[in-house]
Amino acid sequence: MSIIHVRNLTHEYGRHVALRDVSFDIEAGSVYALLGPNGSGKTTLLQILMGLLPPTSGRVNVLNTSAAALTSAHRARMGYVAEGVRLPSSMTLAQLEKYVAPLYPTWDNALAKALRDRFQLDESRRIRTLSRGEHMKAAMLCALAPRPELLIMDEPFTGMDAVVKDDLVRGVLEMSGREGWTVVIASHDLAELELLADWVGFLHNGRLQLHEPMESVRSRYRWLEVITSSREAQLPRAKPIEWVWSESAGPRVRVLLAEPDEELLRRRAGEWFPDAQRVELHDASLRDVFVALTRQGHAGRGAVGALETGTDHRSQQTPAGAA
Amino acid sequence: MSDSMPWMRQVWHVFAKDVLRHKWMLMLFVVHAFAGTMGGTQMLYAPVDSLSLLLLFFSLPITAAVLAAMVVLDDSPASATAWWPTLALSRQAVFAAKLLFVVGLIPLVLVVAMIALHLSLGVSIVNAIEYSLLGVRTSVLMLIVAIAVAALVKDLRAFVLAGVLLLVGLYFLLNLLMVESDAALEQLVRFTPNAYSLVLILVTGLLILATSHVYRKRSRSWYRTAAVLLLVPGLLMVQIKAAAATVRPDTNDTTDVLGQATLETELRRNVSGLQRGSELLTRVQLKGLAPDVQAALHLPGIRILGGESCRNAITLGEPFSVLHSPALPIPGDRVKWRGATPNVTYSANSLYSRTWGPYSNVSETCTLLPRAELHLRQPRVLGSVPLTIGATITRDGYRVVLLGANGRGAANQSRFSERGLVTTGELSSLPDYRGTLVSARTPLSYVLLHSGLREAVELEPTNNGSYARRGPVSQVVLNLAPRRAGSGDSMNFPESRAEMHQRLGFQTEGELDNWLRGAELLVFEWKLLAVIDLEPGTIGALHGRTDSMIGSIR
Repeated sequence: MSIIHVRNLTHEYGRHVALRDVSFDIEAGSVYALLGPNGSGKTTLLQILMGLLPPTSGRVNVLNTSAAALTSAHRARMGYVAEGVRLPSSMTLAQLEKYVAPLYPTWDNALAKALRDRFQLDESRRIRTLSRGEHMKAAMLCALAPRPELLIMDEPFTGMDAVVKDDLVRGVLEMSGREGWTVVIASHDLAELELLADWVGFLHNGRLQLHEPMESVRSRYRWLEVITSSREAQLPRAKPIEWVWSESAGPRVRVLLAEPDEELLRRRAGEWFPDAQRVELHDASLRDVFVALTRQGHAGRGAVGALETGTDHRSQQTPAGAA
Repeated sequence: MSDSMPWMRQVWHVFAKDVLRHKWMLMLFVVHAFAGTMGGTQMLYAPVDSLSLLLLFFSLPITAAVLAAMVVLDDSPASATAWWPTLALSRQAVFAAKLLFVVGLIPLVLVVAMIALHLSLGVSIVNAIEYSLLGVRTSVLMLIVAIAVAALVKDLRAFVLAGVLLLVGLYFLLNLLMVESDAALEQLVRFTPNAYSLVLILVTGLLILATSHVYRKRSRSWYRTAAVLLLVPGLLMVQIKAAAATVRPDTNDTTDVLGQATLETELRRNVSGLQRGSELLTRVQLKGLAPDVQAALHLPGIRILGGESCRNAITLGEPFSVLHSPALPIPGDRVKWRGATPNVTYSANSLYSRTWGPYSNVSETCTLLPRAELHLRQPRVLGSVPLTIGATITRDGYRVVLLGANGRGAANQSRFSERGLVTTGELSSLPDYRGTLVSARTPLSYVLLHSGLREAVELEPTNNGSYARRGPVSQVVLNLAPRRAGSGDSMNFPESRAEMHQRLGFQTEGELDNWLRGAELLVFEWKLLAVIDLEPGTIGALHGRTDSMIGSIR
């Protein structure tokens, strides 16, 4: 069942189009990683999902309600953490908790205390005295302690050290698995996202370029490393459709491919590089995919193209190259 | 679905948070409110440093506005990084909580401070509450404006800047509207009390709705911003223009008041003896008016289009000229007015005429648009006291206290200062009290009456400008010089003591002293009975002709 349902979403800031005809669904209980370079529209999309921004056009349903019509009762089931959001600076953490807790019938004091201990936050400190990372932890505490059905996080790991980040990721994973939370997270911490997410979306220039399960991404994207006998490797004249990104240095060629079939790839590698001396295939990390997609700018159209017609996204694991 | 906090509890929750968060600022405001309000009492009883008391008094609305802005900006609807919209809070509940704080709690502090002041002056608790609630209306309206502006800006600095720009813009707008003819606006401000209340409620309601919409949508689209930006000056304009305009009686039936009275006007031109331009002279005659009614010719509709001299001419305020001064409502024979304008016999209540020509500096290109009003008022004596320090008149919400001399008066005040009779405090609330930004009430009139000689001198309050009329307490310095015919404002007319004596009809200063020893202070208010529009048609109907009272000058 979709907890988030977006169709033909467009958002404009004056003449600037931040989101263009975006469509996707997110299933309840999934952890969705939203990737994209700076200015790609991630924050705008998350703010629209929270009902903080009205969409210029399109349909956005969250918790089976139009995002623009979310009530306090809906928000009581949601949590939101975003970099840059300012908590009331003159409050102490204890006052902040005291203010927020009554708003959420599901507020868990024990969880709040556990998070405070884990984040090493002193409840007597005023918000304005917190460092940037501690500020984010306080915001995270307020978002997590109500045990939200839907947690939306925009760059939540900003300023956090590796240990806390790791703890948090594990905690969210555990909660999501145990209590069925749906998590939508935009972050540049790709290593954490790779651990956390079971679905990935990639926004570029306001367009959703990729939207598929993490497993599919892991299996579909891989590096092809070839050493040729020539002093300068010769690349195919026409860029093969499976190629997402390529780089070469002397006889060495490195290509990020969007094709899960390893046998097929090895066969095709022979066709692309007749003078290959060595051909190796490696798994690509989420970071590799993100960087390559960002550089390429328009990869994976096929994966999303079918989605835009309204087909269930779980069946949309079509390799980009097959489109 | 899990239930969120009920709406009313949300309002209270946010309100309590705001109180807790701004408790120090709120305490400071409470101290300021009491010090500023009670400061008015100090002004009454001692010649203390009035400037600091005035600053204390005038800084009060600024403090209130800043506190209001801080509370609104705490949960700003305009900020893109605001945290509160992500919480399980209804946006309307947050707005309601802000309203509760700004137009509930802040005015409550002011009301309590004013009640304390009234009680300290011996006013009954019921009256004290009534006057204080009336007095706080202006503050509430101003605070609603503060909420609306604060809802559109991102921080306090922007709020202050917006406030300054708003005031400057309003100043120019008012100037523009005053200089340029705007018949529609002129019609708008011809309020009756009911019309005024309706317009005020309408504009205030719209402003609250627009601000509520900003909260609900949490985005400053151009049309929301424009709506608020239009309504804010609109509300201020209604207040300011209404303050400057006469609150008319609700009934337009002037038959009983006018009786058999007739008004005749005759347009004349007289350019002799003028350095420049033309002087417009109109002869106005009023016949047959009841003896206890004052008739004054007001020219609120005067709009002079033309050069700089015209602009200067109208900034002096609304000109008026008393056509018929009633007999004082005291028993016995009629009283002779001393020092009145030549050719005017105030004690004669039937035929009375004078010429009027307030604009001696009107240049040839100016155009005077034809509109004037005849205001008919009846004096009501509040009381009289001997000229002794501390003498007090208390009636229907007024409390007039004669205070000690300040010894700083100009020449025409010195006679009073020698006798310790310069300052007079007022505590008042008239039935047509409007609580506007500019004027809290109609000023009282003061007359020195010598009962033995049956003579009277009208006193001119020299500081009856806006600040003296504002608030529950004001201080008035009285001048012996009678009010000048043809001018309704409070300009000072420097005058030597000798001239003053002569003008009052005394040969020597000693003669004046003797006269004052037998005099008492009479305080009275004016009840507005009717306002008669003197459009050309009206004038024609009044006296059977249709000539234009005021016309173009070429």
